[in-house]
Amino acid sequence: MRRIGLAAALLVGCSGGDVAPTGPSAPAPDILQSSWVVQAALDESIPGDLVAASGRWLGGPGRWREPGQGPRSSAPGVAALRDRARREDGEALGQLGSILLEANCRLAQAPGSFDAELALGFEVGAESCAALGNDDGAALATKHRAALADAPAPPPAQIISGTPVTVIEVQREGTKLRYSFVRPADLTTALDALVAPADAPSGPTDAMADSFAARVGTSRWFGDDRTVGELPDAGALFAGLTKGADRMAASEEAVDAATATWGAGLAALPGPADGSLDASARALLDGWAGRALKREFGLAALAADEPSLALIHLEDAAGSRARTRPEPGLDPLLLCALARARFESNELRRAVDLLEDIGASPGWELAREAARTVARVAVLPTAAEARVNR
Amino acid sequence: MRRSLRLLLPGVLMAPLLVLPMESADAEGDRPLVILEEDEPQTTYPFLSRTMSEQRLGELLFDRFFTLTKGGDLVSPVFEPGWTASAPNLSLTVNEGLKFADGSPATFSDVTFTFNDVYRRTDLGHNLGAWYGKVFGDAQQITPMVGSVRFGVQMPDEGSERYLLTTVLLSRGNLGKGGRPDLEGSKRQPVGTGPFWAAEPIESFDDVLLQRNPHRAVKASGDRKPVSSLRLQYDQDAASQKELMEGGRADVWVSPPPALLPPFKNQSDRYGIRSYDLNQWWYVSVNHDNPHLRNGQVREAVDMVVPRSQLVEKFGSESARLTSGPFLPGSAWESGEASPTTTSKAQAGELMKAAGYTLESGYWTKAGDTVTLRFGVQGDILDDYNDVVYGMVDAWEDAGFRIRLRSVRSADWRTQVESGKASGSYDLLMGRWNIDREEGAIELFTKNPSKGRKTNLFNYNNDIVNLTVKQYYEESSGPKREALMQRLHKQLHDDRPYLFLWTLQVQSIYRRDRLAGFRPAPFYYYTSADGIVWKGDAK
Repeated sequence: MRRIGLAAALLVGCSGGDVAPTGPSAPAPDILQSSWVVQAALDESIPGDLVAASGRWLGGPGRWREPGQGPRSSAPGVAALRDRARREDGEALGQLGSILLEANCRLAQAPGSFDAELALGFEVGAESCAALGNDDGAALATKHRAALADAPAPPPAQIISGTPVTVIEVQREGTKLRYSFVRPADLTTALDALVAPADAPSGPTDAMADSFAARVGTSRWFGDDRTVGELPDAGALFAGLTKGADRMAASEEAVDAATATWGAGLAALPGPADGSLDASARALLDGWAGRALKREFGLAALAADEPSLALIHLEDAAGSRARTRPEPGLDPLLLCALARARFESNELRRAVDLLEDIGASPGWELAREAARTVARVAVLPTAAEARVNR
Repeated sequence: MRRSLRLLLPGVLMAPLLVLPMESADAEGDRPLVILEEDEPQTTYPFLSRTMSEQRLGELLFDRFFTLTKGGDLVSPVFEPGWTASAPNLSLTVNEGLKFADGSPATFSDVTFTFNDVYRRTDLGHNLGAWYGKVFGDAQQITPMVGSVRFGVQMPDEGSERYLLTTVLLSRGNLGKGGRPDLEGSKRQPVGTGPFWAAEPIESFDDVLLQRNPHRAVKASGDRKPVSSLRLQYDQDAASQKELMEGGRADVWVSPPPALLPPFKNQSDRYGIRSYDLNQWWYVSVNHDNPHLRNGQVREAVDMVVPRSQLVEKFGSESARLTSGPFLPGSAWESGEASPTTTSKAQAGELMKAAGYTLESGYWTKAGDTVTLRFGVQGDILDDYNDVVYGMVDAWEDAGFRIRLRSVRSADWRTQVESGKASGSYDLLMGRWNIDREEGAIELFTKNPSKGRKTNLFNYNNDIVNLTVKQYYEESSGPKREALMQRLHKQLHDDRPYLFLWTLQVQSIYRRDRLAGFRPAPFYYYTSADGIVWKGDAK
């Protein structure tokens, strides 16, 4: 009876007569029991240390680790978890890199964004546009660069969040300004290094624990795909969306329906003492499932170049808070993707807020550089009359 | 599998499950979508708007020429793609088939009317004539659907259409009858190409019913139904709005006080939360003509007494962040040399003494004149955030400043404050500004010679600030412009035309069990209103 006492502190008992009716689509308890959601809560064959080490997706105490620094424990599955965390950190930094590329590309297309001493900005901007496939933008940035005099050699790059960043500080009108530039090629190299496979597994392996480690916090609920129809993963939901004006609405309904299916199943799930899970426990498990589904759906939408669609699901996954900050449960990939979705959806102020908060976490300082760059995009002259209202 | 509940992760927050009785189901799709808005609008034309509720209403009724899309690119609901720029002309083709809500076809004649007969005019009661007259020459129609907009200033090589992000298409047939456009007389039934329109003239502006624009195709698939009408309810206090929302009699609450959000967040099956990206900052504007407040030390003392950190706690959930000037935290124009004013009653006292004041009967006095400040507060702020306002008043009184508090209703704000006559009635004014781009803040500190609305509430005029603004407008280098704006931020922080308080993150509440596709656009809110649908199984 491991951790049962501690369990009582979190999940306050079970209520015998509180079995909610299940709808026709509610998955059977034995199916749910093989999901990572229920395994994490109830399955004693999943090591407790492994569950505790899954805090970046499930929540708990502590704070973000530096990129590439996974949990340390000799428990089965933790090595696989560490490897996955490292890969996701690479993806998260990739999201920050995408923001930097897009922001630099946009800045470099405006003729006044940089002066001669900062001409590197146009060069990096042109490279960024080219990396994004924006040939017109690259040509414009190159033209703006050519209009400037030769620039002094930039200082050596600093390593920020594992990425070479050229930082140039200039004094203008008595004010010190900091500019930072990341070349797309350097970014790619840095990310490749981060996500490269580890030399060797550094902990014991166990098929069940490793499978759990690969799935926890995702919408790959089971170790196999036998129940995909009843509890769809985010990829299947996204792929099933039809194109059209109400695509956003359709996506919300699809995700809500899947979440409701989870809720119905969990409501009927027997608890440890032959009763059902009580409301608090159900809410916790519901929360995990919902967050996982929305997170992955948002990531899929972002990868498919649909930032507005991604935005609403990633915001929901992150709890729709007034101010979203890094913390366990709100993992780096989720928040970096959310920052990108805000940026690409033109919610620039909110993108900057989030990037600054991410950048305050040790090891994630690249987000601050992205924040500063996005902030400059936000004040690019648009020439339109500016509206001011009460 | 052996089942036993166990501790997973200490400290995980578990939201209590609250189940409230559902109200009786309506037949969605037939009834209006009920939206709880803010102040009652005085106009339906967005270029006349002074409040966010007016701006948002305009976004429902009209199409802007261009809007932002993914990654900052522009799209146009009015013009065909493929517009071309060749200095000094921007050539545009009106979308074939575009119709106004009254069924009349939109042509380039409406574009020329919009420019030449409304926006560039200086005698129609809006403040835009000077700007449009300077930036643009005449718009010219070439064929029924094709024409050009001529620039009066040097056209940028790229992106000249960005000048038209706020211009809305107006109907010559509707507004142009009888010579001079009658914006006041037509405001109850304006005609645009936006997603909704007033099919019947608006009788009362505290409860506005809009119907779907019948000439604008909206598709919904499956069981979903397009929203056929909107009912916008204005001028209710937060307590009433909360009741309406909880009672199921409203579907969207645009700007609830953040402290009221938690019970809605805890019912996530029923309510959804969507953030509204808005450059909003709260202020106390300072009358530099007041004989006491003319002294910079007195202004600083008044500022230092405001218990900012305590007051922002009242908003809850980190919704508010302190500000140090007109540009928000994180802005490229926020100066690193200015930080939010730190509260210190003792230091404020030292400043007052240094300025020659003594405490008499608990109030600061100089030459027999007690510092008495007439403090006007926007009525809706006093209604919904009275704990914040009284927290501020108490702190001032406790520190020796006599305060005469007055609520300023929206209509009075328009006639007494934004008319440029605020100095005669007030010494301090508390309000909030919402700005679509940082540059908009500049008008809040600079002289406006026009006869229209004054957003520089106490006619603040500082030569050093004016010089910085002038240099900014004359400068083309981005780094120098950034440095100049940071300087402006610091200058304004130090000179205190405003006591800069905080910025607030607005979060809207909506009925997620009824609606889908609801996403507020930055500043304009309803830009994607076409995408809001009733859910198929909405109750």
